[in-house]
This record gives sequence, structure tokens and C-alpha cells, in this order.
Amino acid sequence: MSDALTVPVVHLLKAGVLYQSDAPAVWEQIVSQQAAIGDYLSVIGLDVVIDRAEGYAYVRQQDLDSRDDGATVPRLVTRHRLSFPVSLMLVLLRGRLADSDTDSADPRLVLTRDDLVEMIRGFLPPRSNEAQLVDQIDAHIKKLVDLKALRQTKQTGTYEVRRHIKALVDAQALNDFNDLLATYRDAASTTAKDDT
Amino acid sequence: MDFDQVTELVRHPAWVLLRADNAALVLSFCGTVFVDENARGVPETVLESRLDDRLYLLNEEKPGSFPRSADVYLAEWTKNGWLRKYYPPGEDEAHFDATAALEKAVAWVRDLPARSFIGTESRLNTVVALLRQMAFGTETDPQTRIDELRRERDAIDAQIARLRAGEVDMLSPLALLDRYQQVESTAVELLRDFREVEANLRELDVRLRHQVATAEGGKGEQLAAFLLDRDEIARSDQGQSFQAFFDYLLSPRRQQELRELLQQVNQLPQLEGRANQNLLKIPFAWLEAAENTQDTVRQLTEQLRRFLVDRSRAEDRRVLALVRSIQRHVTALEGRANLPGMALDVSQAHLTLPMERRLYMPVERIELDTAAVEESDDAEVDISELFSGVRVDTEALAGHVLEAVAASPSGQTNLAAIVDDHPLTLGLAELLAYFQVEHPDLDMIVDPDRTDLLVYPRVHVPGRTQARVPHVTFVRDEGGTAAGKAEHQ
Repeated sequence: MSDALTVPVVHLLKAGVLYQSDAPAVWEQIVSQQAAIGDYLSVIGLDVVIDRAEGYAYVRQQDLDSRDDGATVPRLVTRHRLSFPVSLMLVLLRGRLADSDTDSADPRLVLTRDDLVEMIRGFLPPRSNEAQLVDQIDAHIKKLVDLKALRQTKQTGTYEVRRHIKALVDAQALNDFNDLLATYRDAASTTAKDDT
Repeated sequence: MDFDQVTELVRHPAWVLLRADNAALVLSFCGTVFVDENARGVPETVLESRLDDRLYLLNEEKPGSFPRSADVYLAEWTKNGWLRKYYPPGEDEAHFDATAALEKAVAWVRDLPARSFIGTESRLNTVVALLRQMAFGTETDPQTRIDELRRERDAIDAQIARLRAGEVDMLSPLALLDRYQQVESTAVELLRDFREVEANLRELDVRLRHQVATAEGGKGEQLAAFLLDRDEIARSDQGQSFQAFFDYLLSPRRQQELRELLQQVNQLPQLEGRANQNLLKIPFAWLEAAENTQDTVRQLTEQLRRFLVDRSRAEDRRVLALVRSIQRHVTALEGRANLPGMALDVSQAHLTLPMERRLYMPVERIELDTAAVEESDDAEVDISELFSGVRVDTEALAGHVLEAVAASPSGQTNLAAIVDDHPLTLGLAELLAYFQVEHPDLDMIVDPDRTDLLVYPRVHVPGRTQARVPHVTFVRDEGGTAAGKAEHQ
């Protein structure tokens, strides 16, 4: 591996998602070394995805079926099973991003904590203890920040929705989630019928 | 004017502003910040603290007249369309800018008071000149054009002949004032129009987006391809006219001519002190505002391009449908606990190698107590050991100090100034050595009540570090009197 690859590859692996605006110098290296980085990462079963229009790059687990030799490669990229509320928030944020791209000239979607609470509150089971509910939502927000779906801006209480969730939560992922919920709904309605 | 048209206009933000209860506050505050000072893009914290100050003063005069806090007012004004709140690219703090509506309201209110003198002659001249330009500029018959040019030449010849004969006719002071006023108002109007140009371009951008987003399937893509092919915003009538103005303004020759003319005109004695000094700054204000608008055009074009390039238009529609479907499912399942989540790849690699970890090492805690610093006699402290690894040339340091003291008219200097002139190369050791500088012609006064923050480069490693040290003054020793005096202070 040549020296020129060290910096971009390590940055990519460490950062998960690397935004052009966050590290312009590394971004330049990634773009200029795109092919070499791809070759290198494919050795360890990873793909690099670079979105120049949006200005971010991330590393993705290669499709394991695509290996010609049929050898099994352990996953290097961890697959997180998200809790239901966090998943739902991610879905709603993806929808907000699609909405805002249609309506607004600003590529940045900035939401306040209150926006986020209002967005999800109606979909969670109602509780008499509102404060507890809000605390819980705060925990979900923190999880989304950890997952880098949200980024806290310098102003306290406002979050930027990171654009790479467009790639992460694509139509396929949404479709799977939708099907999953539909199955649950069917199951719920049959048990309800059985009860009557 | 049509009745329905006017009814429609009642809802215009500018009209709403004029009817608002706190119109005086909005117009005076925003007028000062955005129109008089011509600020474009004021950070939220700055604007909020300025409004805070203003509200405080107003409430001092008349307690309770503005009970709400600055941020509430700003939020309301933004909602009403008088201010625009946005995030500049790459910034995390929201910025405010005035809208064209606010600018119009301010201009209208400003024009209300009766003016003592309204020049009309110059405007008539302008109108005639414009009409002549239009008629002449579209004339296709060469003979007519030649006749017109001849007429102009004859008029100029006649003028030259009159001047040769010693007949010098000058503009009367009144005619001069008339023209001056027109220059003034046109200059300010031009500045005002930039905001409207910006607003128009932004509107054009939204309209184009809607066209592409709402067009059915293949048509939308065709439209996108067409728009991508041409820089629609830059090529719109508004964009072209603006670009022409910007190019005109950018030419250094024109800028110089403009500035020289303004300078010359402003010094004319006939204006009798009615000259507006602010007019001299107008070319700069134009340039600044035009650059700002130019930036907006660039950003809009870039964003529109990104929007068009984004092949996920179709996907976005599908995404929205799926999001709605998921919402419906969740609502139907309301109250059920333990719903499933989705699985997501998070591509961050956390490598934790077991052999990278160190064995447990007991941490020795060092008690630090800054309160118990005892006054010590300098003579007892021996810090020479600190420097055993590094050789600091105290002679040279003393030389720096003497040089600075000699150069200063008051015969004294301080440590921060010396470190400024002679950056530290050996870090803390060198800094401490300054405290040990000894010279028969020098006295050192340490003032522990005042401290200085010194920043200096680290030794051997990149980066900078900082040290908070007592304020040290070096005084030229003149028979011990200076030192004695300073010690009393």
C-alpha cells in the first residue's frame, strides 16, 4: 500500500462518513485516489462510495454473494439493530430531507430539539408522564447523533440532518421496514379478531 | 389601480409592516441595521444583542412598552416576512437579512416627510436623454443617424465657439443641487434594488424546482436536462441585467472615474455644505452589495444544479410514499410495545487490539493548591535546575530588554511586548529566564494582580501553547528612584 493511501483510508475507516466540509484536505486525497482506495478496500471486503455532488464519502460492506470464489468473509462493518423509535425517527428524518429538497434552496436541514420531539411524539405510545417521554426522545436523539445521522450545531438545541442518510436509508431499506410493520399489523389484527 | 389588485396587496409584507403595532420599532431598528449600515447577513447573536440594547433603552424611556424579549421579536419578524433567517453555507449560526418588503417599507416611510426642495429639471433632462437614446438606438436608416450626430456636433461646436468668445455659462447653484439630489436618490435606490434582485432570483429558483418536481415522469427529467444545459438563473432577464451591471462596476477604470467624479462634485462650493459625505462611500457599498448578490446567484445556480443532477427525484417520491405508509402502519399499531426496528450498517471501524492496552498503573495523585503560594524572597529560589537541559542565553535576553527599554520614551517596557518582538524559541525555559534577568541598569517590577496571557510555539513539537504570567514591567534604573517609585504602586 502506497503512502498516499494511508491518510485517506484511515480517515475513511475511522470516520465512517467523511464530509468534504469537515475535512477538505482529506477529501481532496480521497477524490484523487478514488480508484486506488477502492482496490485496496476491496481486499478487506469493503466498497467505498463517493458522492461528489453531496460532498461525502463512506465505506460499505461488499455484497458477500458477489465473491466469485464462494469464500465466506466475516463482516467488517457492524450491522446495528436499531430500536423501533430510533428507526422511526430515522425514517421521518429521511422524509423531511426529501421534503426540504423539494421546497427549499438550502441543502442543509436544521431542526431544533422541539421540532424533533414534535415530529416523533405523536407516533409513540402516549404516556401520562410527558417529561419522561421527552427524556426518552432526548435519548433517541443522542443515539442518532452517535450514528451520525444528526449533527449538533454550534447553537445549542439545534441539529443538522446529515445528508448521507439519503444513501443509508434508501427506498430499499424503507420498503423492508414498511413490510416488516405491515406483517406486524396483520398479526395484530388477526389476534384482535381472535379475541372477539 | 384595480380594486382586487389592491385588496391582494394588503397582504403584502410591506403593507402588513406599516400597519403593525410595533412598526416604529421594526422600521427604526431594521432600517438602521440593514438599510443605513447596509449590512447583509447579520449573525443571530449579534442582531439579538443589538435589539436587546435597543429594547432596553426604549423600555427605560417608557417602561413596559416592549415587554417581550429580543429573540421573540426576531422570530415574529421573520415569520411576517420582514427578515430572512438562513444558514450561510458552512456556518452553524443562523444569519438574518432584510427582505425586499422591509426595504420598501423603510424607503416609503423615509420619503414621507416633505422635502424643502425637489429638483425636477434634472429628471426631465434624464427623461429626454433616455428617449433620445431609445429612438436613436433603434433607428435603422443611416442617414437619420448621421443627421442626429451632425446635430450633436453642431451643438458642441457652438458651445466651443461661445467659450472661445469668453462666454462661460455655468450651472446655477439650484440646478446643481437638483442634479446632486438625483444622483443621491438614484445611488440609494440602486443599492436598495439589490435586495429585490436577490429575492427575485431566489423566487426563480423555487419556481424552477417546482416545475421539475411536479412535472410528470419523463417530462421532469427532460426539463431537468434542459435546465442543466443552460444556466437558467444567470440567463434570466434579471440575471443578465445584473451581470451587466456587475461587469460595469468591476472595471477599475470606471470605478476610478466614478470615485474621482464624486470627489470633485462633493467639493463644489456651490453645494453650500449640502454635500452628502456618505455618497463618497457609495461605490464601495455598491460593490459590496453586488458581490453579495453575485454570491447568491452562484449559490443558487450551484444548488439548483445539485438538485437537478440528483437522480433520486423519482426515488424521493417513492421515499415519501413509503414514509407515509410507515406512518400509517405505526398509527394503526399505536400502543403496541416492542415493535421491531430496522437494521443499519454503520461503516465506522472501531479497532481495539488487546495488546494495545497497557497494564494497570496506579495513578499517583498530585495535590495542587494554588491558594497557599507563599511570598518568597527571590534570592532563595534557585530555578537554574530547570534549565539544566536547555541552555538559555540570559545575556541575550537581557540585551532584548535593555534594547526595548532604551527604545521606549518612558524608559520602561513589559514582558508581553518583549516576547512579541522576540518570539520564544526555547519555550517555557526561556520565558522563565526573563524573570531572572539581572542587570545593573534594570529594575523588574512584578505585579501579581495583573496577568498577561502569552502564546508561544512549542519546542520540538508542532503547535502552540500559552502561559498566564504576572504582569512584569522592566524599568530603567536611575539611581534606584524609578524602582522605588514603582514598588509603591
